[in-house]
Order: sequence, then structure tokens, then C-alpha cells
Amino acid sequence: MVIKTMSEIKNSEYIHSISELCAGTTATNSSGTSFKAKSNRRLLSFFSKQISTPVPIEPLVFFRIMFGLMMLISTVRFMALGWIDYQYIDSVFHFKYFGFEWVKVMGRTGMYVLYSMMVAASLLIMLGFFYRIAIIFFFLAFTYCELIDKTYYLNHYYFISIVSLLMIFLPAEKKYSLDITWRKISSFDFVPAWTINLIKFQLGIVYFFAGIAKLNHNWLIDAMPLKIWLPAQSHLPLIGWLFEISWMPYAFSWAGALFDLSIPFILLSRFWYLGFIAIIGFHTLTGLFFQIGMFPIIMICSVPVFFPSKVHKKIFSFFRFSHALTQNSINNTLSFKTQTGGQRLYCYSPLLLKPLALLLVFHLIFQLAFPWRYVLYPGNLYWTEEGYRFGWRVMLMEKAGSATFYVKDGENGKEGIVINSEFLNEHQEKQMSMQPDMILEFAHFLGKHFRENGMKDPSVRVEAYVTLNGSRSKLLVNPEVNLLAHHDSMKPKTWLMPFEK
Amino acid sequence: MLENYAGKLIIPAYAQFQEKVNALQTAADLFIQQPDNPTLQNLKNTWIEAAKAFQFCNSFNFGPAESITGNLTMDVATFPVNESLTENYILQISDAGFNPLNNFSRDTRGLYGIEYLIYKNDASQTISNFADVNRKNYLSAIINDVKNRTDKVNADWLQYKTTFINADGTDAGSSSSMLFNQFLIGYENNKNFKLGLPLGLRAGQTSTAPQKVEAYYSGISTELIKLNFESTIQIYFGNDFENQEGLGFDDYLKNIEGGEDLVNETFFQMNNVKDAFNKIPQGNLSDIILAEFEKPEAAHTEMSKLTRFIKSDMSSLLGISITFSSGDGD
Repeated sequence: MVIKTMSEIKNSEYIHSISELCAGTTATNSSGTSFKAKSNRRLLSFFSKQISTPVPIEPLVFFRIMFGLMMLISTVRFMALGWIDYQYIDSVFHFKYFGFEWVKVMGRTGMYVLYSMMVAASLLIMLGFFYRIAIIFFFLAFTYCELIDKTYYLNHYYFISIVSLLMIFLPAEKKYSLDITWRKISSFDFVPAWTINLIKFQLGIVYFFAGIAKLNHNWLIDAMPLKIWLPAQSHLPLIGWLFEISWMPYAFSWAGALFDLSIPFILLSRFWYLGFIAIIGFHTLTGLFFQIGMFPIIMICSVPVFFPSKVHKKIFSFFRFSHALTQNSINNTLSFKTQTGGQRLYCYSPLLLKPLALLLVFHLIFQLAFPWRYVLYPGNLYWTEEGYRFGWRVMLMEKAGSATFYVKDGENGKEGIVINSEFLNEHQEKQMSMQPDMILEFAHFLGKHFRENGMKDPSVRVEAYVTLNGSRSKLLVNPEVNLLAHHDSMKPKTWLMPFEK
Repeated sequence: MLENYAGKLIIPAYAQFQEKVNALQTAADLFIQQPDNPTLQNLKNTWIEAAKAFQFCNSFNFGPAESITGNLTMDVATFPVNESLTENYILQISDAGFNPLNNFSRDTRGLYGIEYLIYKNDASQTISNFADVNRKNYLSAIINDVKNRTDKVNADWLQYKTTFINADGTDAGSSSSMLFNQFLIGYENNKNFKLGLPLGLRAGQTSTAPQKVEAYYSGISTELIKLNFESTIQIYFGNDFENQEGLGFDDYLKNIEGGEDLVNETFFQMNNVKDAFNKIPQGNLSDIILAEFEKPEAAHTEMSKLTRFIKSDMSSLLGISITFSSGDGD
């Protein structure tokens, strides 16, 4: 770890040398004078500014505290609502993510202990106490819980997994933390810009991709699904009458798309405060309309990472508690401080930085590319849902289905109807009935179940009637096909029926 | 809409059932005092009335009808009856400290437990069986249980009515959502357990199971299935017991694009179901399953065809979360 004081790097020319020290790898290139094009240099200086320029640590610390607080509330809420039992323990069967079939649910005690430990970890993240251990544990535990059953997949759970993974590598506990006050680690005032920009990027793509996903005929021209969803809100006091106006779904659709696409850039601009007001308005409305749990609050509490650091500094100094922490940290780390200024920059060790940079570049490319994988599949994305998940497609379609499974005894040819509720809870049945990969997985479960119960050579077929954005329900899966003859893969599913409006 | 459901459908349904249960209890008291042909016949008649009336209550298992341990339908209308366990309880009822209601064997009591006691054997055998004081006490105990539970739901609904009407919207936990879910479950139970299971249509069944019909001993199964389906239609359209159209799900659907067509198609398929029901011959469903299997099977098929209109299209257009308090969406 390299420690530099800000007095040394106040000079803008120094910033370059600091960036070499901190970013390591770019040093040889940028110091060379043989660059031909100015634009190249400008691009480079832009990147160096976004990556290695020292920036105040406050936004990152503030984000850590809010993230810990949100996770604390989320995990406590999850337990209090009895969802551990409902989602993990009471189920006969769990739907697995492709490639993660090996993830097994623990027993009741195990799951409760795990969740309690997640509550504790969230608290530790918030307080910055044993931060590194807490965030590593939280990432692993949270991701494990999400991998148990894809029925409960939510974009914001995916977001939480990613962010907690990234935060493992960020110096978010280097100010205003108990690690500094009690464990006497050194405190820092500046961090390389990329540590904060990484979070901004991750938040920004949530909105931006959600916006891109709205640029389609259904959303913009048909105002679907808002034409279905908005009238259901007409009971709301004061504003309810608005949602019976016929053009209102169009207004909301277009405004929503515009909001999602532009908000990352507004937040990055000097009009960030207008962006934040819009964020609060948008998430309050959607939170009021739809049953989306913690999502609006998590987003509202994450977005301040975009604020200029002076705002966070004001917030921190407003609370006496954190002020006391600052005093403490200054006293405790006095020995590390140089004579001048005492403003210290956190730098990664060059040994760590190289592999980390590689990983992060890979992560950024993956994040930008993975949501687009759907273009590789034929057919309607909403209908087949091939490449739908992990793409920030939030509240995009109204889809519902009813799936009747038929199990045929290979020996006597007798075909029986499955009562889904004997194996699935309501939530699982609802999700399964409209998602092809889950239908296939359930079919295989049924095949196994009846084979174990003595049926010879069973075959399973399904009549799944699915409605999409108000269309009359149609068959999703070819009802003649024996699903046991097909296995899940990343390849296009040949046994689906085409979507015709 | 909710006001119509509470005031014109749900509360009257429970009140009607309560009235029939009271009559049932009075008849049972008379029979217990003097077990003979007229009192038995009277008891049977009142039982049929109560069983019929309950078909209009079994899609409302939320709020007052729901408890931690189950719901009213489970408590008073579980079938088929566990005969040997019931007989065991009758033997044990005289034991000090034994309470036959103090367990979760719901297949030993409720309406169908009562039915078993009074219909299982022919009249003269039943009358002579009821010379046994244990049997009298058991009948009295399980009727009392039905009555207590019914009274409680009725009383609680008077309080709950305001809560129900105020919980508007379509989120999980809203009244519309609870009502729709129970409406769906009521419909599916009718199809799956009153028809499908006895017909042996469930996956893994190797043969028919005619003894598993509802109201096996009295033989009014088909009638109850029809009434249960009448209740489904009534809820869909918000019709009251005088068959007056009130504000119901159909009215809500008609206000949404494509809703009018859906309501018409659903109504058409409901009539197909009714036609198929009417083709099931008179008599014990358990006998008919063996003799003319294809008739009740055809009814089951027509009901299955209706499922998607309710479970896919209707739930989607209502914007209702079909799952109840089980998670967030995004």
C-alpha cells in the first residue's frame, strides 16, 4: 500500500505521477511522448481522470453505510415475513439456475442461522467493523440464498450480489468506521476515482438497460403492460382518478423510458440534484403501484453515490456521531500522517492491482454484453424468455399462465393429470407456468418422482396456456412433446410454440 | 365491488349456512333424544340443506375463515371420511379426558363426518346403532364443532366487513387479491378433488377411486359439485342470491382492453361446463364413475378448458398478484 499526502499531489502534474503509482499499469504508456493524435491523449486523460485521479472517499463510505443499512432492513424483513420457511424450507422442490443444479438448500436451522449471520454481517458492513470479512461473507451467503431457487429471481437481488462482490475490493471502510476507531486500521481521505465510478457504473446500467429494454413496440406504441397495471391503481386516494384517463398509460410508458435512459447522465451532470428528485419521485410512485418490496428504497439509498463529495461531507459533519469517529480516527492514525495537510490517498498495492484491473475489465465487458445475449435466440424474448434474466428487464411485461402437466405410464399407456399444488407453492407455480425453462425442469422432476414411485418409463407433456401483455392465452409449449426427451441448455428451445398476437 | 361481495355474497352465504347448521343441530338433538325413522329422516334432510349451503362458502377461506391451523373448509368439509379412526374416536369418547376434536384428523368430523354417522348404514341399522350413548355424544360433539366454527366466522365477518372493504387495490394482501385467490382455489378444488381424484385422473393413480367422492354416503356428490360451480359463477359475476347482477370481477374486466371478449368467452365455457354437468346421470356419482365414466370425465375436461380463462387471462387482466404474501416482484 502506497501512502501519499495530498500536499504532494495538489499540483495537477503530480496527479499524473500519482496515477502511475496507483494504477501501475498505465504508467509506461502515458508517460511516453510519442503519441500521434491529440484525441488519443484526450481519451487517455479522460480515462486516467475517471480511473486514477484521487477523489474524496466520502461518497464510497456513505454508500457502504447505506448499503449495510439496506441489507440489514432487507434481511430482517425477509425473516420477519416468514419467507425462510415459505421459500426454502416448506418446498418439496426447488428450481435451479442453469449450471447451478448442485446448490442445495440447508435445513431449517441452517437457513435461520445463515440469515441471522447475514443480519449481523449487514450491521458490520454498516458500522465498518471487520468490514472485509463481513462483506465477503455477505456476498457468499446472499448469493448462495439466491441460487437455491430461481423462482425468486429478482433483478435487484442480482444487483445486490454484484455490488457486494465489488465491495469486497473497495476501500469503503477507510473512513468513518469502527475498524478505524477500534481496530486501529489507518484511515484515508482520498481514493482512486475508479472505486466510486465502479458503483456509479453498476447503478447506471441498471437504469440504462432498463430504459433500452423499454424501447419496443409493446411498451411505446401499445402502452403495455401499463394499460393493465395503471387502472388497477385507480383506488388510490388523491391521485387514483388519474389512472382512469385513457392516455395516462402512454404518458407513463414514455416518461418511464425517458427517465431510465437519461437518469444516469443527469446524475453525472451538475444537475445531479434534479436527478435525485426525479429518482425519489419515480421510485415512490413505482413502489406505491407495484409489489416490488425493497427495490425502490434500495435504489433511492444507493443513488447518493453520484452526489459531489461535499454533500457527503456535510452529511457526515451534520451527525455528531460520525464527527466523533473522525476525531478518533485522526487521533488514532496520527502516527501515519505526514507533517503537511494530513490528507491521505489510499492506493492499491501494484501486486493486487494488476489482476484486479483484469478482473474488473472482464466484469465491465460482461455487464455490458450479457444482457444482449437474447439477440442470439430466435422468437419473441418475452414469450420464450431465452436470455431474459440478468438483463435489468424490470416490470416490463404482464405475463401469466396455467400449466397442466400430463404424466403417461410407459407400461400401460395410462395418462394422469398432475395437481401442481401438491409439489409447488403458489409462487413457484405462478412463475413456472409461464417460463419455459422452469416448465422443463418441473417436467423432469415429475418424471423422476413417478419413476421413483414405480412408474415404468414415464413421459411428461404440458398444456401451458400463457397470456402476454393482455393477449388471449395461447399454448406456450408444444403439447405433444415429451419433455423428458429434452434437456435444458443454452440452445434455443425447439419445443416451444411461436408467439402470435 | 368489494362492498357488493361482502354485503351481497359472502355475509349472506355464511348467514345461510349458519341457519342450516342451526336447523341441523336442532334436528340432531331431536334424533338423539328419540332415534326413530321420522327424526332420522328429518336429520338427513337438514344435513343435505347444510351441505348444499356450504358450497357457497367454500371459496371464501380468508380473513375470519382462515386460521393458523387451516381454514373453515378444512375444518367443516374435509372428505373422504376416515371410517376406522372415526369409529375409534366413538369408542374412546367415554374415556375420561379424551376429546375427539383435540387433533388434526379432520377426516373424522365436519359435515362429512356427520354424513357418515347418519348415512353409512340403512335407516334401521343407523337407528339401532344410535342406541349407543357414545355415538350420540360423538354426533352431538361434531355438530357442535361445526356450529361453533360457523358462528365464529359469522360473528367475525361483522367486524371484518369494514377491513375487507377498505383493503382495496390489487396487491397481495388486498381484498380483491385474497378473494380472487380463494375463488381460484375453490374452483380448482372442485375440479381436482371432487371430480378428478375419484375419476382416477390424477397422475400416478392406477384406477378410479369412486369411494373418494364428496358426500359418498348420501350420494349427493353431483349436486354439490354443481352448486359449488354455481358459486364460482356467482363470484365471477358478482351476482347475489336473488341472482341480481352486482359489481363483480366481470365488470372490472370489461373496463380493460380485451376484457369484454374474455368475459364472453369465459361465460361461454362456463355454459359448456354446466351442459356437461347436466349430462351426468342422476344417482350416486361413485356408481356412475364405474358405469358411465365418460360422462363425469367429460365434465372434468370442460372444467379444465375453463382453467386458463381464469388462471391465465383473468388474473393477468385484473393485475392481481396471484401469489399471496409470498414475495416481491420486479
